[in-house]
Amino acid sequence: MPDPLPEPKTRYELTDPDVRLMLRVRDGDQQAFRELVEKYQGRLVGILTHLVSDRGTAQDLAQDVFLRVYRARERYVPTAKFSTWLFTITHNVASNSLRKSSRRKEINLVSSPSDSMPVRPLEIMAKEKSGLMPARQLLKTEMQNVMLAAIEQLGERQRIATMLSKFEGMSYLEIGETMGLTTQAVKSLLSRARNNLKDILKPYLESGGLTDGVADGMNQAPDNEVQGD
Amino acid sequence: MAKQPSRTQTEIDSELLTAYLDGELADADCIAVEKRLADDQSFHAHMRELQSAWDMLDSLPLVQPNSHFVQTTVEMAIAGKSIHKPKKGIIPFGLMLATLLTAIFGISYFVKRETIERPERELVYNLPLIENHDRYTKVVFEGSAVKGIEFLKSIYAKGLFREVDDLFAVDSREIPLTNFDGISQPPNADRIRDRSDRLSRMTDQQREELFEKKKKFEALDSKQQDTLREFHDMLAAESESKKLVEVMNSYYDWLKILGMNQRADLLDLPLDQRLKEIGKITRQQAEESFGAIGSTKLPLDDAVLFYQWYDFSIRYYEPEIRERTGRVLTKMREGKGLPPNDMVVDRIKAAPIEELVSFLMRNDREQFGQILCDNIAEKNIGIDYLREIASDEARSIIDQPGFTDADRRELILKWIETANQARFPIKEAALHAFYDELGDDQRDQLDNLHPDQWNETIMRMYWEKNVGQRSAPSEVEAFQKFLQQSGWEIEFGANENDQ
Repeated sequence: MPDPLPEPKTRYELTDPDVRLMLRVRDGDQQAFRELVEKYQGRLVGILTHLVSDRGTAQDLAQDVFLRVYRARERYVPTAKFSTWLFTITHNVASNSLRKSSRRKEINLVSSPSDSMPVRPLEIMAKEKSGLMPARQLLKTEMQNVMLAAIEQLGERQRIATMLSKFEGMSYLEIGETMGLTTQAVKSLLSRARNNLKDILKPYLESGGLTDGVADGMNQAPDNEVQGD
Repeated sequence: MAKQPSRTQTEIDSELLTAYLDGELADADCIAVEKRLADDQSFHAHMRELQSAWDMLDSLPLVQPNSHFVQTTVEMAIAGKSIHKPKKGIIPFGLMLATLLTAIFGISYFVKRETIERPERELVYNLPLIENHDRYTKVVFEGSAVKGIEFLKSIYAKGLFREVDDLFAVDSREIPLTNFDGISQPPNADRIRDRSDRLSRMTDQQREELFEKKKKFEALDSKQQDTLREFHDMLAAESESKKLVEVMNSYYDWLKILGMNQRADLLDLPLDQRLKEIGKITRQQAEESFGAIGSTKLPLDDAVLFYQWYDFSIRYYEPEIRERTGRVLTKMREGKGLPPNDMVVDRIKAAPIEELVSFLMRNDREQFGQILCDNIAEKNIGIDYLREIASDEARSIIDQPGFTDADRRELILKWIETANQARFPIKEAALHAFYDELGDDQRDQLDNLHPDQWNETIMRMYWEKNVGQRSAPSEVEAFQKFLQQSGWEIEFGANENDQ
């Protein structure tokens, strides 16, 4: 009796090398798992840091995501791109973490600069005196702080969708799969996110970004406070 | 049927433009949008604003995980670890299940053993050895594990290094005193689980240090590794192993406060001579620390002043303290043969200032005393200033006959230590030691209290005895008093810019 025909490969297996890696993980190849961790660690930690605003927590969550992937390896069936599956888990892990932290209402007042990114309200940042800093130095750090504060002001779902779209280059369909939303819902979500960002960043956009002039203006405590959505 | 909330034209436009910018529109819709963009300036301006805001996201800082992220993640995954603690209620079930499976099959160990593969298995199996091999090398003589045990027993019998004091986080005395078992035989399933648990609970810094230790251990030749393994097993088998481990840890930390040459010379000595030399050095140290110091008890009002002087000085010299910590730590790491690691040093430099103070007090006492007491700053805020604002009684303590500048610095450091211990959570060991020193009446009084009050009361007693105060003064109260009595207001107050 001839051998049974091999299982036909799914389209994801054919087109996505990471799916093939994950299938090797499923078959007990630890090196394949290491390759996946190496490949996605930066992206995961980067996105999670902007979601939870703390690098240490982000690393823990990223580790948790990878551990979940590994634990689920035996049940793995490629029904989507690997990155979509990975970011679905990431979304769930981040959402749980954000819910827990909002319940605790923790405010980390003392934080290590290397570990976390304290986010301060734009109102405070716009008002505070930073005239002692050289203008060029101000531009870079202030820009980063402005953006961290802006991202912080977006709602959780808008923030996640923004990260997936901007930094993962995901299509609406993929974001929808990741977040469990319809394409239309993603479209609406991202539109609101962009619009909110535009409003939050309005004082900076009007001058075409953080130019020296704007930086000087910030040092002089402008009359119009930055308003979030 | 629920009515959809009506959307404004701006919202509709935003959605259309967002989809356009994201490349999510069908060709026909794209053409329509582009035509409108060409005709409608406000629509075009709206699109530019949306795009600019989006582009600004590029300036978000790039975040990368630490260099051991991959290694630790893979090891944790393979060891079957979760970074979350199990929820209450699930533990008993999990334990019951594990017990049941073990009872039925009796092979959980083999299963576990087979599912952990090299090098992860080696890490889990050799964890106690990797963690402690450096201290073992400091007590093992002439390649003999037996002599190492003899040495430990000798220094224990002489009463050296018995006191276990508080530790700064970078201190290496983190050897687990429980579950200290032999290592020649592969660990059982429980041990594997315990060790994996411990690995998963490690902070980034601890992981980093562990991997450095691992590399160092692997650099030893197999004979040296075997000797250390043998030593570990012998130590574990000793009836007084816990005490010997404590002595070994104290000895190991004590070695670090010696100068590099002194330490190297000491470690070159054979057993008998080494013991003699240790006795000699520790006696000298004791004399230097306590012999010349007279009364150290501050009057109540001065304690308040001192408290604020110290606070202010620490804040004032914070950059120097952090910088100095980095330098001392780097030097210590060099002394231990560790490679430079800016990340570890930076993390520690960023620790709470009181931890850095404790660290410098232990490892760089003289220099730290100079930073605080000598007038290295433009303003006179050193010991001279303290002398000026203190009462006559406190001054007479600071300037007691025969005191040198070094004695005075040491006195100030002792006050700082006491203030630190009293202000910040006192370590359990210190409280227990204090309790042991109390008279029977005081102990009875304490022991009759509700457990919740016990801790609070003993801490108050501790503070009262050591600094002469009932409790730490409130910030406002102490600072107002401080300003009034010190004249600080005039020197550093509102007119600072006019000076």
